Amino acid sequence: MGELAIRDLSVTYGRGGAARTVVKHADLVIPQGKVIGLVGESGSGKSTVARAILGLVKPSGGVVTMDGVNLASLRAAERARRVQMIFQDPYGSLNPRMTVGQIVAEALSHRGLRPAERRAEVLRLLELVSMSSEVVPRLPRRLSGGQRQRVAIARAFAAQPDVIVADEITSALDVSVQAQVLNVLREILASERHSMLFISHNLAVVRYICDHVAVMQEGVIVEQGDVEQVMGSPQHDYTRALLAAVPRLV
Amino acid sequence: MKMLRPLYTTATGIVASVMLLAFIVLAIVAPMVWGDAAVARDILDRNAPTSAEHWFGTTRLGQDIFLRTLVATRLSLVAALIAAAIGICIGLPVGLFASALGPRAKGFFTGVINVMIAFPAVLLALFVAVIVGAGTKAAVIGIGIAMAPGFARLAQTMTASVAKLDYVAAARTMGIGTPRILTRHILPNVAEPLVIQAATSVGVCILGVATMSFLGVGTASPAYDWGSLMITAQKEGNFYPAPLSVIGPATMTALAGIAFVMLGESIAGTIQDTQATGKVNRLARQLRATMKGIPQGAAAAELAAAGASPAASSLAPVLEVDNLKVAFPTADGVVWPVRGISLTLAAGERIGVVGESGSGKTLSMLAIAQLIDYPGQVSADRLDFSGTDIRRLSPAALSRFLGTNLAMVFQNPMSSLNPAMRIGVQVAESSRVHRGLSASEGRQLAIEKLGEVGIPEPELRLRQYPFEFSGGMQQRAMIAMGLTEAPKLIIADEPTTALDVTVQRQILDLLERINAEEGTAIVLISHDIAVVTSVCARVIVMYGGLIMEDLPTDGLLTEAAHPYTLALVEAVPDTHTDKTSPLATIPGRPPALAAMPPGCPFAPRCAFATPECEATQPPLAPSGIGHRVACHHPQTRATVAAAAVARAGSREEVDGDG
Repeated sequence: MGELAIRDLSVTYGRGGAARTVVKHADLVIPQGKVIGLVGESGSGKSTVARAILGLVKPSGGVVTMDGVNLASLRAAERARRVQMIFQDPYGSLNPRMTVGQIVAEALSHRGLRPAERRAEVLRLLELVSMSSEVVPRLPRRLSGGQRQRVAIARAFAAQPDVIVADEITSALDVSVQAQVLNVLREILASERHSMLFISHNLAVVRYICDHVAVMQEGVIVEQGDVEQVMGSPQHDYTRALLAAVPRLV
Repeated sequence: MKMLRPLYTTATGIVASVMLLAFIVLAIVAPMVWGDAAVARDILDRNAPTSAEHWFGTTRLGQDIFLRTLVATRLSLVAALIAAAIGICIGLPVGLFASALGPRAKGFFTGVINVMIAFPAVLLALFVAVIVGAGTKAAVIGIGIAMAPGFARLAQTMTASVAKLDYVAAARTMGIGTPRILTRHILPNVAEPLVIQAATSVGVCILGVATMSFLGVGTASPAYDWGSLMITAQKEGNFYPAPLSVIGPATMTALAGIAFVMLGESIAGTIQDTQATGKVNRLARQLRATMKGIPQGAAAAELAAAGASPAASSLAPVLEVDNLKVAFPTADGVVWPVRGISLTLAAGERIGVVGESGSGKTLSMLAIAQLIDYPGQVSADRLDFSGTDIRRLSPAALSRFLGTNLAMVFQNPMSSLNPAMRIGVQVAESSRVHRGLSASEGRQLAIEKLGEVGIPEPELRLRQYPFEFSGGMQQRAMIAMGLTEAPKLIIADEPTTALDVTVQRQILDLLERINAEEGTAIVLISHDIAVVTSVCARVIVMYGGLIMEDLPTDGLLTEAAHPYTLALVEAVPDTHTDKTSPLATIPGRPPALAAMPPGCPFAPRCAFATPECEATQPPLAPSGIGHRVACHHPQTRATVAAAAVARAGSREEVDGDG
């Protein structure tokens, strides 16, 4: 358990003339047990921040540290215990040839559990996301989008990471299903006291889930602070524009 | 094995399996039964012509070519199988290895594979065979090596496409090592296409090995396969006295090759399941007969009168739809995604259609636009578009009528725009077809319309291609395209779902402006009730192929009466939602199309459902001004909230939810 810190992070794709810097000197701290929202439009660099934390892209500058330890210096298995990710598309993030039980159990592989303990832990994790043992032998294609996303959440929590990165995890779901997934996430965050970076373009959802929020525009974090404060009295023009664009019910 | 199902359920599969079985039996049996007879020499009957005794004639040594052709099946097939195995055993690991390398090494390997593929396979095979020496072994190794680059490429591209998927990224973030990622996450998901390719490649190898023998670098006397039989018969002058001496082995080669290729194709399912297609066609014909939409009797006369009067048509609503249904025949029977919806849209009105995926919202609007493709069938008791019964129009008149009166805007502008045509040409295309505009008039029109939808510098942008436009700009171009003929109605199906919130706001504002300035009626389809209510004056809520509620947007929070509408409203968090309590959810999941409940489709998920709801679908009945609701037990926000509190007390299992 600890504090994840992003210090002066820059990420550049491509080389030479085709190089594009999509994250520019970003600073962000995710304190222990807090949920930080990261909002911005497509191309703003928010998913790249997620990928850099997970080690899926190499930063061109800056570091991501956990309690002062550079994540890039850790072995893959060690890093897995520090950070986990939940992906946007629940139809692409589960291996279609593995059962729900196998998917969750695989994420437990670094915890050194005995087979019986492992089975029990799989059931406990599924229970956390409100799924019964019936789904254990099922393949993902027999699950609905919301169920798949809940399996993905269970998998992320299975590794007992210090921080979980959730990248647009409800944007592929219907609103009623989104509500279920958000409720599950809210409960599990309350009971497990994990830290989370919650990436979304939906400000209402971010406000509902997060304690703090950072607003990103063209690779730069332009504003961050307490979620109520940022949404109540936004300081940056871009934050104001984002808020004004949120469709309101009636 | 599910994958092998097509082998006994499809025509191609059955033919392929029967042929293969015959060849396998022949390969096993023929050498045992006729092996000796096929090599027995009969000096007195050398180079015999076709006869009842020797169908394919005889060789220079008087051996029966027909028997030799049969016996050669074993060697020909075994050689081809080994060649294919060599190709797979070399190609597959090379491809997998290449895909697991770093970017630079991968580039090098890919280059090598590409050069190998570009090299003609027969030349490669000949080259290898010459090095190895002569004989069957040389042919097999040659062909096997010639097959390898194709497998390597396939394995590499398949692996690369799977490796990009999120579940592989998820495995990496879990710290799973590369070997396990390969065996557990990648290989099982590329196995199917590789197996299919393997089956097909055996067919190619049969031809390849025969070719090698025919060219004299393969099987040679005393051994013989189909290829060597052909060249021997040709050299020994058997073709004219006994044409089958060459045609026979050639036919066997071709048939065996075709059998393996068909096997691969039928597993791949690239050839349509003819039985299923037949059933779908039959159901579609039946449906068309029973769903014929033209009304009879008095109603028809009245409609015809309305359509004939020009005064009526200018005052008529843009849309009058009664009992619209959409049916799709499938191999498992007919499903009804839209089960009878009725609505009237006044000129210049803005309505939103909301519902979860599968509610029928998109299909019902496509049906109105006559865009349901075969085998789907549409029926309606009434389908009038600004006073014209569009079901009566000839296909040409319908295309013209809808082309000038209706504009469709879809979710993904990139796939609705032609990537190879300049924006300006696409925007003006419909007007050039319908009004016969010249190229320069079309250009003027495109500039004007692109300007209207807020695209800066339209005279420059119209020369660009769709990929040079951002998503928002593409959607604007789509709208501009629809506006060229001053349509009476724009149907926008999730037009902003793929866009960012600020761009979404701009597109919604644009639709509102067009509505205000041009009086164009707008139907906005969305799964997001907030998007719809921010633009539309009226909301239609769909579920299970039916309209559940139709009400003014203003009344959504105060007047909404259907439990489903109320649940949708509560489920969306807004910027004032209470953070301390869970969001309202809808337990259960939408009904499957094939198992639609007899009563209210929402009853299984509804907290207020009674046996009456499960038995009969409530009609969509008026309930106040401009408000219709289909519910036996209408509710209010207060009663729904009270029920939710009561439920929370006994928190039920939400498993199996959507």
